[in-house]
Amino acid sequence: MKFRYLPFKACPSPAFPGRKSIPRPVIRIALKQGAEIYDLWAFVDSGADYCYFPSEVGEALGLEVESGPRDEVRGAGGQAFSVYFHPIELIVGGQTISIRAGFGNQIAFAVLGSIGFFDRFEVTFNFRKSVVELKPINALSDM
Amino acid sequence: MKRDQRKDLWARLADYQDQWVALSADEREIVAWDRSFKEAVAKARKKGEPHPVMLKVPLETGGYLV
Repeated sequence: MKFRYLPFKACPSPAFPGRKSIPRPVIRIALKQGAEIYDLWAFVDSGADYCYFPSEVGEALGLEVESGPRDEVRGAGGQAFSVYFHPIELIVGGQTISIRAGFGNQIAFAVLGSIGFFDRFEVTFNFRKSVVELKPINALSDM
Repeated sequence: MKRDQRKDLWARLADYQDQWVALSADEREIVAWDRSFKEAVAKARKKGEPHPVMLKVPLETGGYLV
């Protein structure tokens, strides 16, 4: 499966006055819980430990988000916030896999990280060609 | 989505920073938008798109580091 990077408009700054756009590895997925299913574009993030989604996506799927086991996650800036893990079905390129994902109020975007995504797919980033390629691999444990 | 469609889309998405955008199932059109995920989905369905593709458009004030 190949996905093209999605360019986002970027604001010029004193550091990068000519910056107009930033290409980011965003792929189409779906999240399924019971009869509810939503298609989303998600960021493929090799720096994320798990897969994370905004709480409001979990609520739309019918989850009682804060009823799930709590974990603490820290961003690159060091700030900590709470996420709540739930079993969920992740659909990528027509393939459905069962994962546990974290949902939180301070998660702004759909993020596909190491456990739940990178352990299920061989992921190749080719920035120059603006392509992310995925190959399914045997699932490892969910840890 | 083909390359040209994605190249074109980034300029259109810039008008919806920090909002949920609902794209048509074929990803060609912006059908609806809202700060709330549920509201954006509801608006898209009301406009005749039962299965929108949802994207939270980042607020672009600089780079992102996650």
